[in-house]
Amino acid sequence: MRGSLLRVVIPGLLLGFTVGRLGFADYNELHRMLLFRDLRLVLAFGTAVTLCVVLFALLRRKIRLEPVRFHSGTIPGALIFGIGWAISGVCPGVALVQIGQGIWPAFVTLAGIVVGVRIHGRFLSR
Amino acid sequence: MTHNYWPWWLGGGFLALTAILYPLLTGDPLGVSGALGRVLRRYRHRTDDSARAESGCGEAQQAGEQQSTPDLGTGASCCGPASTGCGPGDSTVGASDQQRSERRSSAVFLLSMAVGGGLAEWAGGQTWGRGQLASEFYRLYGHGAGGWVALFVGGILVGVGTRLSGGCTSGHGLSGCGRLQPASLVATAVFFGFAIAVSFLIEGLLS
Repeated sequence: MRGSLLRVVIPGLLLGFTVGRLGFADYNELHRMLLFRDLRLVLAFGTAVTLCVVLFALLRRKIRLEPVRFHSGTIPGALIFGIGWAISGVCPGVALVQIGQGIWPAFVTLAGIVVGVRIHGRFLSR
Repeated sequence: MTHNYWPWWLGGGFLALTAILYPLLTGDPLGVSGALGRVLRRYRHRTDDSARAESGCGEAQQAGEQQSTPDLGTGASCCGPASTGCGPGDSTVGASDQQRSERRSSAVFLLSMAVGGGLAEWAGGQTWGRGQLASEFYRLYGHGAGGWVALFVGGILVGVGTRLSGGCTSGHGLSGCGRLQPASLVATAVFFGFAIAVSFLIEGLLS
């Protein structure tokens, strides 16, 4: 990554703030979304993806990223992640946002994530 | 405890903005689990998605992880053709510096996310540091050991799964789906599907 740290601080702050203000880091909101009791977060995510499709298409000359490779871990990994997401209520970014919000149990979640990443690095990365 | 969360269109707009801004500023795709991987792993290369990383650099990575001394030559030569940033710049010594700087900027990105979450709490008029998860969590798991186990074990699954799959809600869900990448579209459908199924299961078994 080139350039100053501000290049990551700005999107980091923006993403953390958005996730917090959207309630994506709130177990109640997430649980209700996954049970289809409240579609606000589903709509937010769908809107985000739709806008991304449009913006990435418009900016395809400016943003050149490599394709995401499909490999043998793609589906099993997503499956495992989905189970963990529903149980703990967090995806990796949400654990950090919760800690920033002063929700201290998230340190335990983050510890689990760190252990998980380490397990992957040691045993599962080819 | 009432919340005045953003409406879906505002949140969706800002999520998209982040997913676009990140590659515009850094040249890399947005990905929180990728950043976590870079911070935690003794990596030999700079690619964001473990998927791509492992495709090209797996052996070098393993070798590097077993040795404590960096195996820069292997890493650079292995990664060179496969990824944009492993190019000519990081032949020997430069690679080490670049990897260090990537680890630092990834750590700063993750810290910024936490700070952003804190600012959101403040902006939303919440009492900062309430120290508890939301009520539904305790309704399902109780206040005892069960909740801690759920967080820790759930966290392990999130860590293993996102790295194995090569992305999470941001990397696959926003950045990958936004670029209509088949792997990300499938992965997102799978993790959403299983999260929905497990949520119904939890609700049925525990409530």
